[in-house]
Amino acid sequence: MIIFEYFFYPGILFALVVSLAVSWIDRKVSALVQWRVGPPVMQPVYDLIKLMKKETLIPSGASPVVFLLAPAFSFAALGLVSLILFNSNLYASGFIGDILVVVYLLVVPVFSLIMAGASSANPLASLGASREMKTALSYELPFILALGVVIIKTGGALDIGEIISVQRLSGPVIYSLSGIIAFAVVILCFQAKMMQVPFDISEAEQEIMGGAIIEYSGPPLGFFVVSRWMLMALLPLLAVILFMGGIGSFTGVIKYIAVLVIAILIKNTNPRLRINQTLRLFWGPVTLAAAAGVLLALLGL
Amino acid sequence: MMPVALAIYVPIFLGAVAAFLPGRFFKVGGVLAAVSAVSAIAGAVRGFPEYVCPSGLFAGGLFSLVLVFLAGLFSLLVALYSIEYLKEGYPVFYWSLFCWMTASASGVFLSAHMFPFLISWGISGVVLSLLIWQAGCVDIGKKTLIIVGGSDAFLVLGLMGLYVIGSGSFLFSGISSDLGGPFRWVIFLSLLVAAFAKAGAMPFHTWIPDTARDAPAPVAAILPACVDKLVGIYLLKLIVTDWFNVSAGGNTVLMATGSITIIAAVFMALSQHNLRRLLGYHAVSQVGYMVIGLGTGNALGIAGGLLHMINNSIYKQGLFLAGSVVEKKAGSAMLEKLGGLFKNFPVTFASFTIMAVAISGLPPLNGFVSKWIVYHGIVSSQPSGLWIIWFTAALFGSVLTLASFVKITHAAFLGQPSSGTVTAREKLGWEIPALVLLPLMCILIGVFPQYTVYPILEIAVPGFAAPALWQPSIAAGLMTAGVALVLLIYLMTGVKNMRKSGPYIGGEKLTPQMRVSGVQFYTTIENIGIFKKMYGWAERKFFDIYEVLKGFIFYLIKILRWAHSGVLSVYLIWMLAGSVVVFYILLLK
Repeated sequence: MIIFEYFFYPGILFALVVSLAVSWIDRKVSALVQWRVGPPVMQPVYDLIKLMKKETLIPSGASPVVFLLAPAFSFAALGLVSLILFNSNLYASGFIGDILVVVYLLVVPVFSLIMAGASSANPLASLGASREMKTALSYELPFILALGVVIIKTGGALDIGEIISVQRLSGPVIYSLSGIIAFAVVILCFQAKMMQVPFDISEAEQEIMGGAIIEYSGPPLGFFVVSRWMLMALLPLLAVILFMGGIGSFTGVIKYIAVLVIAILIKNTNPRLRINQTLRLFWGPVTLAAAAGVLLALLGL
Repeated sequence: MMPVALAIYVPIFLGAVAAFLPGRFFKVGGVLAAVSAVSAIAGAVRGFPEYVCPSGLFAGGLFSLVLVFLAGLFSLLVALYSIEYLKEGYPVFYWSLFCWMTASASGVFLSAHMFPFLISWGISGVVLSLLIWQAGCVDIGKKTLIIVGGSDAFLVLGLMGLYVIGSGSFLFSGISSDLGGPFRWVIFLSLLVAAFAKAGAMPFHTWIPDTARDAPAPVAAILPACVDKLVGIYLLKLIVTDWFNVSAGGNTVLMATGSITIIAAVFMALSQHNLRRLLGYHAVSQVGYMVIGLGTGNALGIAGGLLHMINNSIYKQGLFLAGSVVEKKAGSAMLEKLGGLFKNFPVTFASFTIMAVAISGLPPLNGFVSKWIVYHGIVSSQPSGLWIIWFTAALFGSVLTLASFVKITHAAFLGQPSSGTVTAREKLGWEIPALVLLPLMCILIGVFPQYTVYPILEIAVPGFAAPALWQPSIAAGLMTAGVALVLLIYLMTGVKNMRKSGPYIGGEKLTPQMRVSGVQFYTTIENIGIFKKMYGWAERKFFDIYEVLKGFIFYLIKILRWAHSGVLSVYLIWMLAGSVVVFYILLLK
């Protein structure tokens, strides 16, 4: 039963379908911002099929085992995150792991990407790996504090089901001052977690040509691309769960898409930051804002 | 035979035998050390599940016996490793000290009376200093002896205090006190100093990074990284669970110390270039999680802290052992000189990576289980508003840990090979048991905590019940299935026909100058104003309590020297001035 859930619904296959849709929304909205028509709905599917048919290249001097396993771990961990988040949201009760488990599982794709870059034996990939780690370091600090706001607001709940049900009973976290601040912080952190502009420093195509995934091609690249789409689908869901009590009805879906579109708009209207600017931004103003949110939450605001 | 005889007296005896071995029987000494470790294990098994010595001096509950077992097991693995690592020519007395180390650890865990506890504690400190000394690191041995040995004085003070406020007995069983009033606080803090110095929590940590860098690898792996943690945190457990009913204030002291230890040490680790010194700072940083856990004052946190102690002793020891294989075979522990070793060091690489993932706390390995339980303990700790600070420090420390292990893994094993290490080969012998068994333990405890560690913790910590919402066996099974699915798709899409190609760097030709080693990964962070200042201060040893005290004492001596110049007239002036003061006082009377 649970294997079925993991592979099909609401695990990997379902998350894949959602993330293909999300990826299409991303492209369509970006196109609209830039006064273009944008791709057809099936475009992400075609892209994926094309990648799966391509040849796999492995750089000489690389570790083939690490090189090929890295995308697999990224994909498998995100499948598990999807299972936990969707199931917790469906039944408003905990499943397999709590919010801390999800936070840690969301580090696995970051780690996979870094190992991918490190194992490529390519200086640009190494730079990408180092930048990815520094980006992760920068956004994790405010993210943890913002998560603290949610835990305080929901009365010490770590169980995702409880986080959802408390909010459905006594109002979403975002309806408070501290909640708004924490939500804004989380949106910024997730932008970085999704490796989207202005925080796509680790792949910076114009500078380091994709960074950690520069040497990837064919199916291994396909799994990294899918992982990124899945992150784009799952992180807005996590934000909706943390701050708005999850997707309970049709309005929930609208909230979800709204959060997604905010992320896409940020991506389309900002230039990329440098790595030291990102560090300063996240460890400076954003962390201060999150800390202020925590103080307000402790005061009950 | 009795557990105490097996776990303590046999190792002491075998150590004494080893002391008389001639130098050419180095390997025989190794066998004696291995036998004494096996004897300790046998003692623990024999005493299972609970043991009380008729004399009343020794007793051991399940948890103590588990610690004796683990200390024995780790001693065995490191003894085997040492036979390969140290080779002939190293002083045979090493093995005597090694046996006595095992005995003293068992002695601490099994003591039910203050005297055997103090004696074992003292011996373990002396043995540690001698092991460091023996390798020619006189200064570091001295530093260790002063910090660890000096803290023994605080232990004596604390135990005497316990004797006074307790029932007037030297037995541990009757001690239980509230934490109120300055006298009890002094006792509490003295005992904490002893535990912190042994385990390496801040500010008494400074002997660990130095020892980790310069002492022989097996010594660094077994003592500061492993057995000293078990011993120190075991004392902390006695303090917070048995001897004192710790108040919210006491808990705050503990959790604040733990948080500072995690963050400060891991930031120091990030900037290190020496593999073993970097690991040494992690040996400090990880103590923070144990101290926070034991400081939460609730069953969850305490159980998490104790589990983290066990987990840390497994992976930290293993990381030292694996790192030292690299150091020995590739000829350097400086990260910039290493690189691309995965090909020629496959076993070491696999072992190191698994344990690096475990220490970073990624699920589903053992580091995650204990950290996760500690987080649950933190969230329900008192006083209620402060938990967010400890929570942030602990979670963020975990990401920083990952970052510094990314640095090591990249710089030593992955990336492009450095010119100096292309020919280095692994060629393992007796190192293999440690390099295979320790990562395996990380996986087993991580995936099956309900069969391995939860039952022990349920007995050791009354009221502990593992939170339900992490089912690692299911999660690990699903993730394995997911990885298998991806591999299947690889096979179906023809990964067999994969092609090797040269690295692509935008059409440029790859030259050795382009190599990115990994040591520069975090210079961006080191160059941020406030960190630059902090690292500068750390470099000047402003945070090293030993150096600060040393500076203060030398300053005092300088003043005294100035007064004590050896010139007769100066002495006459002093005598005159002194008698004037004396007369003046007498006049006032």
